[in-house]
Amino acid sequence: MDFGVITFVSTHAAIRTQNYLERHLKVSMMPTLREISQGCGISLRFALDMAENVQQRMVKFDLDPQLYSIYRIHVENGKYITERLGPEEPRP
Amino acid sequence: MQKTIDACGKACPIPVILAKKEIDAGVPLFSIQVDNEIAVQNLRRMAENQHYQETVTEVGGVYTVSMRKFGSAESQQDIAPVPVRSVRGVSAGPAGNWAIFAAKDTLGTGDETLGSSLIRMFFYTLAQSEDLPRWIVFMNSGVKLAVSDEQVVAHLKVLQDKGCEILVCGTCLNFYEVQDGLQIGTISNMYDIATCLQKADKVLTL
Repeated sequence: MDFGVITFVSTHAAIRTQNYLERHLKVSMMPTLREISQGCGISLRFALDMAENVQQRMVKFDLDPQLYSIYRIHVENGKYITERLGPEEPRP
Repeated sequence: MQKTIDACGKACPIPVILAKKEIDAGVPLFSIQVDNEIAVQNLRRMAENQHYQETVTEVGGVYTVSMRKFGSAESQQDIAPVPVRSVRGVSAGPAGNWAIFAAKDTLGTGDETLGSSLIRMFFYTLAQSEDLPRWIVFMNSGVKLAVSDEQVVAHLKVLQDKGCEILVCGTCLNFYEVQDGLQIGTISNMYDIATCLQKADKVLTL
């Protein structure tokens, strides 16, 4: 079943975000998928139907957009196919 | 005449030890009185493992657990089958013959917040894995994971559904005063836990 993940540049950002998000949404810590090469080892998993809500919460949380990425993960034949959902690339 | 042992006010595992003494002495029928639900559950598990049939009555917060040996002359239920428990070494599912021993609520030593994140991710990964333990044992502060960590509890539910047996130390739940909040697993005692760890081909201590 497809799901969403947030990946982070730093472990501290991951833990801070989880502490914030879990007060509002159902998220679950998981090891960052091997398919997503960049970032720290901690990711937050969420149900895809909450994707919009997660994105809004992340904007409210005001974490530097360069510190995290949101992905849709599609599972096919036991393999993970990743699609980046946001945030938009930071302006130069 | 049936012997009755008063174990009210006795901390775990004393009621189990007192009952085990009677069983070891070959007493086919006796009763033991306790004043808490954890002791009742521990006695139930021991009865099952020792091929005794137990019945429980409760009056005013005092539980009387009657223990009757299967197959004894005094037993009226010789035909009752002996329950087969995975703890006795019979597979409950696809799980392998090994155990995870979680004796604290974090993974590794160092920063507690990091350790807490790591143990959540460990159980997430385990729940997704094909190589599963037969037993997952929680002791000391590890029992808090089965009480209040919603993420770990969710992973444990998946693991339980896949055939893992989750044992949680009753003494520890009592010590941390969290026994009422246990969300998953079976309240257990040192006898069962030690037996699991002895029977396992390998024990992964977290």
